Amino acid sequence: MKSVYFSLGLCFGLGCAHQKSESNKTVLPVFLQPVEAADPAPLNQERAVLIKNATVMTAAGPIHANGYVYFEKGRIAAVGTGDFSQVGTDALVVDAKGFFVTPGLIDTHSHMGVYPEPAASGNQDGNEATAPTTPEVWAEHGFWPQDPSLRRAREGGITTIQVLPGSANLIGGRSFVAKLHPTVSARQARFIGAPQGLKMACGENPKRTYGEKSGPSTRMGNVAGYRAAFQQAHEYRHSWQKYQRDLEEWRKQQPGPEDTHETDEDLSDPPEPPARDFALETLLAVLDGKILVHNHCYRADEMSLMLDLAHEFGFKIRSFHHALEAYKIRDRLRQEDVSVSTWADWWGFKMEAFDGVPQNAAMLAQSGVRAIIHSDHEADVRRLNQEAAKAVTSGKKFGIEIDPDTALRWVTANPAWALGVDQLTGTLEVGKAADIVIWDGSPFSVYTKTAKVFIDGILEFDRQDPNGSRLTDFELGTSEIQP
Amino acid sequence: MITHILLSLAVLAPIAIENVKVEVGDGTILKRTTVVFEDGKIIAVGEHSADTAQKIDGRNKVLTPGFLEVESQLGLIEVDLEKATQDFTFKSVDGLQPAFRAADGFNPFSAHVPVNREEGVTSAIISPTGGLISGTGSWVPLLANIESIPSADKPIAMFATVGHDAFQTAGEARGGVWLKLRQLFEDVRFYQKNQAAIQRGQSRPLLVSPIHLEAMVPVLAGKIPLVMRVHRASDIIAAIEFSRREQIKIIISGGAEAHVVADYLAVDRIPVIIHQSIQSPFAFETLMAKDDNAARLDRAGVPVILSAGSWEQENWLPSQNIRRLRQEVGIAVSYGLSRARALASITSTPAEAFGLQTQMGTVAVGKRADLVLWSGDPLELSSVAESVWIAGELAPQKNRQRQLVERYLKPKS
Repeated sequence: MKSVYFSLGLCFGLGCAHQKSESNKTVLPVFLQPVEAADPAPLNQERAVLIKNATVMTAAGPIHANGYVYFEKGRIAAVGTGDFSQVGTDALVVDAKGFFVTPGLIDTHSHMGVYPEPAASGNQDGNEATAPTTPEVWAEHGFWPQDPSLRRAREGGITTIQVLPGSANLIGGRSFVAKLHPTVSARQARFIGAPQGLKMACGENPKRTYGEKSGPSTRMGNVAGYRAAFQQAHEYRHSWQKYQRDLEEWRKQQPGPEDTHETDEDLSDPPEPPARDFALETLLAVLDGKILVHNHCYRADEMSLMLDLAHEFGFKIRSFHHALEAYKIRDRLRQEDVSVSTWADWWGFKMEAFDGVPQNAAMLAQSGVRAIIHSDHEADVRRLNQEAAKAVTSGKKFGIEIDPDTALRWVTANPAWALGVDQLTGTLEVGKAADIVIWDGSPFSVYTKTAKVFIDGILEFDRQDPNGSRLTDFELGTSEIQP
Repeated sequence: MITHILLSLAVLAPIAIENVKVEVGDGTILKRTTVVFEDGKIIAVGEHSADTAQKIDGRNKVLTPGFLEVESQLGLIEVDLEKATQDFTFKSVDGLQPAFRAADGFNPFSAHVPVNREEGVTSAIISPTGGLISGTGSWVPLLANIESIPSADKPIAMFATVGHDAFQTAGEARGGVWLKLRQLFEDVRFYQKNQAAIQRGQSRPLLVSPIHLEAMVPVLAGKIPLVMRVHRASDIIAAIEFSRREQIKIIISGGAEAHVVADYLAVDRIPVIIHQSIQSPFAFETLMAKDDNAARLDRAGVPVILSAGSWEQENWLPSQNIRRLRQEVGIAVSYGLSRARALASITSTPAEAFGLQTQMGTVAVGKRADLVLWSGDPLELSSVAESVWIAGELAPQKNRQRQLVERYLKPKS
């Protein structure tokens, strides 16, 4: 039980198995690779696809009025205006005249799978509301891939979601990023290459959940809870660093391989490693930037506190979620390079939501903050494009002009950045995943619906095809009248 | 109540909106029309130009009736999670409180009123929720003044929850819900025949006290509808049978599975209130929900009303966002509801269902001047309501959200 621990180094992200541990980083035991797909991922569609004659909105700047997108083996191979001639002989050609093409939409805030439809008591797996700090729990361990809302979101053009634990806890656990392929397990749904997130929550929800129990019962208690947790993480890091030093010291004292005649009595026991703590392991990965912090936080004053806290303990907040008062501190948010995941118009349902305004996203965008429209809801996730459209119109009322590419980024490129997958998806650029939606009109019109949805190049939804959508297992025999 | 003192409206000078496209609210469209209103009422609709003091150029714009939201708790909740601001539910053990009146809790100065008005909602039916018979609802204009407090003794409808949300007050079973309703209706009839004896205390036991039985009399007399909040197809059939047996007018609200029984609803022309954006299997009673529910009902001849409020515990749509109403209609159109008839679902159809059709619901002479002038297609997300008139008064654009934006848009000094 001694030797298996240290060969891997600290690795929480895919592809970092051979990463050398840096001196300021901690060597940790890792028994499993958290974000590698264990179950087989869906096969890439081998047949290449050309979508042509469409309005191609790239979310990377260009909008091609008579454009094409060509993709093969799950990746975008060409994007442009006019005709594309290097089409493979067996390619599927989609003439999309009059249609619009965008990257697949991305929702940074989803509880699909962990708070599934229908609201069954047997399926409520989003909040481990037994203690206010539970960094050890993972959303993917509560994820039910047969949640019918996953299918409906996919049909609404969503190709990537972040599944978060709920907001009952100060630190609610690890999120995971999923591609919306129909799958039978969370591990199969995982977005390969995406880092995990950490769900943190400010304000009323933890207070409400624990005020009558263990506490915290105030915002003061909330902050004390975050500080205690991250302080423990630092101490945990120190204990592993000390162990690492002791271990190296012990190794130096060991005889070389040529000294094969040494007897057992000459060997001292290696130092005992610290006990492994799964909660602190999560927070340590946050300190090392391997897990991205997603912070449910409504009020400007609390977001300011959380930024201070992040500086105190040496981590970054990747995105504030809901963040209805972000418009009050947009200069600081830009300076700190924090994205803001918010709604188009929800407000007022609790005190910390009372200062919400529909201009939030537009004001943030105008100030250079990465604005994101998220859903947090199984209904709005189906029309994230419409939510973005409303936020644009709200800005227009105050003279803030948001161009279509910027508005599209609110639901594609910007959430991709927040989830740490902006090199892999979120725009229509060569080399990125073929996560592509064909719309039957402008994606910002209330009358528009998706026509086809490709994920990793696979046609996962086709409105024209009566069998173009795969019902979830739960829906079989429940959603239709049986003959 | 103060409204009975009848504060007479200030006489408003006539206003003419000229050369405007009018979506009348009943499915018809009038091009290059002039609409004149005066003293709170529409006095002319036609091609002629009017000789009035104030003229508004309506070219390239669209005029519609103000929208009517029928399932809201507007002015009954300010902040959902703050109990001190909740006035929409009478929490009782038996769940039978027909004498509970939403109007008694209505706050016309709620910050939600001017916020929602900004998107063309000019009036709402405020309704209680909770229990089995939740109480009466009233119609309110979004005027944010004392005069808009409704007269509580003239309710517009009785509201009942017949689905799963009522179980805890009815033995936790569907049959319990109908059993209690049958008992209640029997008691109301008994009460009508034996009032004097009941007053003397010479009566068999009654389910609820006489004040509640009295409140049910207009329902039994067919004077006000009973709004039955229900989703499951089989529950809707039970509601239809109940309405036939008791000979009352009902309106179905929720109706996620109504499309399954559309033909039955059409026979009795029972209106259905649909929350378009939440057509999903969010509860066991909505497993057969379909996005084209409204479209299918409309095609079957069922009067369809769309709503941006909801009452479900599982899918609460708070009243601060009934401004989403026009988006709800737009989504219904994307799933097949006829565009020509779509606007009726938030204007003339709800007006008719709740007995308000002589006063509102269309752009027509004699109707209230609840009008909205749109920059374009009123259902489209890029359009804005440029002017909103309620009873002929131009609604001020100022509201809490705009004030916040203006404060924080200001350049730093």
